[in-house]
Amino acid sequence: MKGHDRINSSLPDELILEIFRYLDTKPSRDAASLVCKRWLGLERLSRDTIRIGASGSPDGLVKMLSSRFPHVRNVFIDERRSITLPFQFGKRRRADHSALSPLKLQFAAGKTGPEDYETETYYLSDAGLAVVGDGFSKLEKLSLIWCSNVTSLGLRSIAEKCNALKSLDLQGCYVGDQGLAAVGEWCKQLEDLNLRFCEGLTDTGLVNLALGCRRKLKSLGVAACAKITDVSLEAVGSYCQSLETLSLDSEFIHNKGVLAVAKGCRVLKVLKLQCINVTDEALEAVGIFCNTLEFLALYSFQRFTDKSLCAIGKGCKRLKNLTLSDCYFLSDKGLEAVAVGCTELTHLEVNGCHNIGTFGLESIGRSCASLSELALLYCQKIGNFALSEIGRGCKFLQALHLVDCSSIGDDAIISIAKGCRNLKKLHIRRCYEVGSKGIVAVGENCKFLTDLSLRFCDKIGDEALVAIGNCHSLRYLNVSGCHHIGDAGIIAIARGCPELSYLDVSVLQNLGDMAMAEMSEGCPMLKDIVLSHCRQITDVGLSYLVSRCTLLETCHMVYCPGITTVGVATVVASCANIKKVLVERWKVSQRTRRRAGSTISYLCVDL
Amino acid sequence: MIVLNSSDGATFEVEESVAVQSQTIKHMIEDNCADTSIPLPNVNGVTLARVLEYIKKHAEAKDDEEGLKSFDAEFVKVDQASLFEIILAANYLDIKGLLDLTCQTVADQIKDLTVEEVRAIFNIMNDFTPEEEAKLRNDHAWAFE
Repeated sequence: MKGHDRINSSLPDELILEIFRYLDTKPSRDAASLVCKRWLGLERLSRDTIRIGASGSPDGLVKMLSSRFPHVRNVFIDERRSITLPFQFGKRRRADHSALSPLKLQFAAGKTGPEDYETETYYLSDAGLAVVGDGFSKLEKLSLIWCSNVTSLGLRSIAEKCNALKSLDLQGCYVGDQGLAAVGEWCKQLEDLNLRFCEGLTDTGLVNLALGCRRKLKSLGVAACAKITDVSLEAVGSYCQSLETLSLDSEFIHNKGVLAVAKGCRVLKVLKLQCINVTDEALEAVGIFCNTLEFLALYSFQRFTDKSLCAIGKGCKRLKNLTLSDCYFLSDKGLEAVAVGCTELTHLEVNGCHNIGTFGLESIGRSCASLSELALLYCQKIGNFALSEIGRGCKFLQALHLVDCSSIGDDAIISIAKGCRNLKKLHIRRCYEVGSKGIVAVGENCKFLTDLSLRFCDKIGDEALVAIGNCHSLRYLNVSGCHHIGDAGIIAIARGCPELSYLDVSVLQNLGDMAMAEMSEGCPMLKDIVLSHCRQITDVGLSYLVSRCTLLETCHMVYCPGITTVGVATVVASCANIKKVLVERWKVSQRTRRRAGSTISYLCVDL
Repeated sequence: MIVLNSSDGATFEVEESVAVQSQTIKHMIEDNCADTSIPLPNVNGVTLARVLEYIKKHAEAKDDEEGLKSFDAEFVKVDQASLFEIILAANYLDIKGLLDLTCQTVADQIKDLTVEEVRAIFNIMNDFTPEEEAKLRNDHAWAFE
């Protein structure tokens, strides 16, 4: 050995463990554990999180893991995702390997009968869950997703053994009320509960949990649980007065329930509602009682009117983050009320609210000087003036997303560029009135730009990208569908943006090999590239590109007639870090397939 | 002013208000063990000087977040041997910020490297047999990130 192994000779176990605390991804931990025997032992002691999917024999797998990693605190089991285990834990089932091969185990399990006995062992059982409880006594976070064989019995055994449980996430599990009641009885440290598609749970379970966990509970999420109604929320409002976060997605919840929470949980910070039967009355109560509200999101076709927003504007002065999605009855009046009342607003998203127009946005620009992120999606009524006011008033704007806003054009973008010099992210999609002039202004004024996306804004041409070449911090560029862009524009980017890491130039018919050559010279940090439908790019350009852009990880190049098996092979051979290549099946030679089989995805179209 | 003696006889003077960033020193002062000077037999002169540089900077520029960030980034640009000495000293002197910074630095060196690369940069000998190593690699396929 060349040098001295200082790390193992000078550092005691506790300090190696201290270093391992900062290894937070599975690959880095796995690598560390293979370095030497000492590190293997220490890494196993210090691993605190495991994530597993559906496997051949989950109960046996859990047993093995609990003996190997005794100090795990976070366990995530997601049985929608299947994996092939290279080894067996339980009984060999008729030595039938096809049974263990990538079986798509995502189908929701039906009720198991005697004829389903064999499939039953694929899913985690109550016995398996009991092993989790036995083996991981320090468990703090447990997430069970589509573990269809687990019942109240299993959950009870976890609850009894893992009294330090802080966070429980149940999705698609047929657990019953006794299980949840047991959690309330034994897990007095529980702060966070999330229930989704738990059709076996009724109000009884949740009420008992609320009674058990009382003021410890900080966060509650209920979605698609048909038997949980206002009764549960009334219990939450009575007993869980320290609740800070509530997320509801249910047609079985009405005003009564939300009202009860608003009145009882006075420190509520985050409220997300997707409840078709909740109306203004509930939000008016939130406005009156929840003055600490910071985050409000209203989704999908609910019946809230401006009255709700006026109440919020009046009472929730600390509001920072507002999302309004598909709220047809909200108009400019409501948005103005929020703007005037909630001047600390930093994030605003308006998505598909067809009655919100220019005036509402203008009020935001005039009153919310701290605005940092603005997203306007499918807002046909919002015009140029709206963004002028934003440009004038919101100096700290960092991110702007515009999707399908057909009334917004160059003038709006110019106002934003001149007013919001701190802009870092600009994403524009299908705003057909935006042309080169607007983007030139961005290039000249927004020097800190890191992300630019101009998808299908087909008036934009090379001049725009020449100006963007002045934004030397640019990392992400997507100009897919901007037909007028050609070599000149991309060459300007290559010369001006050395930190570029992501480039999507798909569907650009005028882009050729020259641009690829310049890219390789100017952007060595490139990690992801999308070249699909670029008719003029050939193997030559591709080989120029990968000669210097060796950090490339993903490459999409379908429908490129100029690229052949040779080009594909060159990409795979030159890029040691390549993780994903999307290309037509016939363009991958046997040799390339052998070399990099798992990273190549094929275009799934039979021509 | 507090006087500190390193293991190799070097003497350092430092303000008490700065020195108490080290919980170890703080407790010694509280327990009245610091009349003349504080002996630190586990830290040599060179390393102690570096540690004092860190705590002095963090005392005087307490509110300058950006400035401290760039100071910290430069501070850890030392050779491996020195880095481990600082880790040991930070641990012995119980200076949380310095311990976190230096351990994070080593972890950052390990992240995203392959097993062979980690062994190479730290000169660690592989004490697994090829069979043992192959089995362990296989075992890691039980889960995904």
